[in-house]
Amino acid sequence: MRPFFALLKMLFKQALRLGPAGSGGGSRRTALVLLALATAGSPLVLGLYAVFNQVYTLLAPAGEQAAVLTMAVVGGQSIVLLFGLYYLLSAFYYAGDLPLLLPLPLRPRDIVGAKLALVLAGEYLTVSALVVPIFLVYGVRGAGGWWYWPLALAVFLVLPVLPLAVSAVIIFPLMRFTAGSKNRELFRVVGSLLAVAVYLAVRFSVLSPREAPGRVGPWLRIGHTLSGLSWAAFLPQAWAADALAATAPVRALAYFLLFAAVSVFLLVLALVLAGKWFFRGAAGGYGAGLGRGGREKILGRGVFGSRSPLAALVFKETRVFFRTPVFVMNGLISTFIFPVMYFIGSRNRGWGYAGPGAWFTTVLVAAGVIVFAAGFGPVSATAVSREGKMLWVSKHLPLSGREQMTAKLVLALLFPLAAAVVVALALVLAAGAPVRDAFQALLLGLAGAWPAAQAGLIIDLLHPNLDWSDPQRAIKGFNGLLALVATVVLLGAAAAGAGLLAVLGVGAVGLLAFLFLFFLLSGLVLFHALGRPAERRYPVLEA
Amino acid sequence: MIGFDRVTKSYDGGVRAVDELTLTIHPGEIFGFLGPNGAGKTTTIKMLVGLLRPDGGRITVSGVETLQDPLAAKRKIGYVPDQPEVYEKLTGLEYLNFIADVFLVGADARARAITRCLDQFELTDAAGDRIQSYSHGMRQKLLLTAALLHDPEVLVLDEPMVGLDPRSSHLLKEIMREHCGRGGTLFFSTHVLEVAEKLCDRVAIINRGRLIACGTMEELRADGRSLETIFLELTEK
Repeated sequence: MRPFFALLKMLFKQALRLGPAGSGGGSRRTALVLLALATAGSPLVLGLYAVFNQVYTLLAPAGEQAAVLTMAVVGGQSIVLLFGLYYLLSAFYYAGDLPLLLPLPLRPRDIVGAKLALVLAGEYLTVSALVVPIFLVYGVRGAGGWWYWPLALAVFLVLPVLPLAVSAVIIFPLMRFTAGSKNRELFRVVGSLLAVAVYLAVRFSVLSPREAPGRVGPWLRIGHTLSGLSWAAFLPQAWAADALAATAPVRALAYFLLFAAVSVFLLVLALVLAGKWFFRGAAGGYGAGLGRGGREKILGRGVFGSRSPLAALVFKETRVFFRTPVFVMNGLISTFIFPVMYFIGSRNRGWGYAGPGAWFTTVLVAAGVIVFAAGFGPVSATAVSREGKMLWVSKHLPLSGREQMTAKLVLALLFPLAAAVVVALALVLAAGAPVRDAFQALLLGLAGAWPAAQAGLIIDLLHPNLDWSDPQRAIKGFNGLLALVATVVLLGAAAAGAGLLAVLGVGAVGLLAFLFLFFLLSGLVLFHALGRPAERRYPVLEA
Repeated sequence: MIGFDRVTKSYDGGVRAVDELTLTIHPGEIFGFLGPNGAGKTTTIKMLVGLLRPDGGRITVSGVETLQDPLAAKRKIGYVPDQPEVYEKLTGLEYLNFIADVFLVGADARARAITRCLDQFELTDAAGDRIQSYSHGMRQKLLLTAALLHDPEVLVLDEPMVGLDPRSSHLLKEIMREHCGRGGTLFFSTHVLEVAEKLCDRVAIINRGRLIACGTMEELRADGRSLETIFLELTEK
């Protein structure tokens, strides 16, 4: 077997081994976990199908139904690009298996190719939740020709390749040229986040629909504009959508080949760059030189100050999180993606504030963004999993499970708190809403973030993934999805209660008060509920 | 003092990793725990320090039952695992301060203990560096320093000599003797029979989860055979 395929096989085996070490029934357990994953994800997929079916119905009378395809391609590729950056960083440079792989007689492109294939497989799962329902809607509604279904499958398979290759093209030089720096991890995180920021800025700022026609370059296309609904696509994305929407098979095939050719070209470019720079960038991550200081400097005054055990735990949690690039990037991107989009959207598209008459909607939407940021961010839902093999340290300490979980909750709440600040700033600075509205949104959002974060903690405590050597496996998992589902349930219950009160004639102020109290009560119930599994589960957890 | 009373632990497959283990280790004693790979040494140690819950039996540390009052038991123990896995993103000093905070070691006492141990183990220069840059032996020494910070009554070391250079190994043996000289208890596992022979007041041999021999060196070598010979004979059965 060629080295590339041997490595690929080993990586897939390792990735699919979902059960705890030493446990039997590997394939059965994997199948069960995948089944549970599908069950948990199906409400999301069905919900998206219903939403886009409705969108199709709205667009069809104007003949603009193909806009849903642009949404699928742009949305799917954006997700892959945003998350692909840190998946690749994690897989290529921060994986625990690198010290084992680097000494082997493997070419850089073998390692990069095999790891890229593994990440690609994961991306199919990620994008399928958005793309498959939309492709199904378009196909089932009968808008495409006979060639639609095989072409939809082909577009789906090629879809993540381009953004992943772009991510790789960004990452290899970044890693190579920061390899020798003392603060390389900081530069790498900042560099990657900068790339995400540039993408978001282009996506939401340059492509503002009000100004786009006169400003877009030859590499962009604005299409399918209807009632303010506009989706700007980079040309290859437009080709993919055009391939699916084409009314003749030859035209469809031509567009697809254009799309596939650009994707393959970028993939080859990524592999060439890997050959040049991968080893030098990766080797810089190991064997860090010891920055020795003088004895007086190291053991000087103020070094031995003491803290309470809880404060010590919070500091430890925070330091470990913010010094692990994969955790930071995942935490920041997942938590801030919606608040930042909300900020940019408020500035460019007037999302945030529709005037004094709409203050209630303004507060609700902004608070919803904050609560959703708490549920979508993985900080709480991976709090125990992130301990991994270091769990023994926490477990041998003379601290209760409740104290351990409280420290994790403090860190988990820092993220929605920061997200709330972004949303409040978006309202006041970008959308021009009154400070009072922003303050109400902030309070309501934080009240909702509290139970959402605790739900994530409880989920991770009950079923943590402690068996990992690659930190990405700690922070990207099933528990994040379950926490998101729990947040959606929380928001759904709040909305149902508020809706009932609205029917009974309760006014806007009363509804906001109800929502605030509902979130606080849910938070209190979950805080109480967290104590029991913390005391029961923590002592029996095994890494 | 450490007491194991009919302690049992099984894993998922039903295999008994530790089977009805009964042992008493007295204050001031250096106790060696020997056995082949997979015999149940690490499982026993993990139950002792609270990382694993026994299926049956009871364990006491200085009179405190570990299942009844786990936090009080943990305060009495200093522990070093066989694999020095530790938060790599912290500096050595940050880790030691964290452990000192959690074990409620005051500022002055920790300053003295940390400074002394770091100097002894020649780690002072690296204390400000992140642990990810430490070698296996340096991590081992850092964990030893952390285990000694709160001056525990009971020191539990799982394969403590692995990864240590000869000087550090010699130093550790002195620290072990000092600890027991002050009335502390030391329970450690090892594969190195020579170390056990020279250092231990008593040793126990465990195989397939069952205790198969326990006593002083003199008691075990009653017929003049070496510990190695006894070990090989007993564990072959």
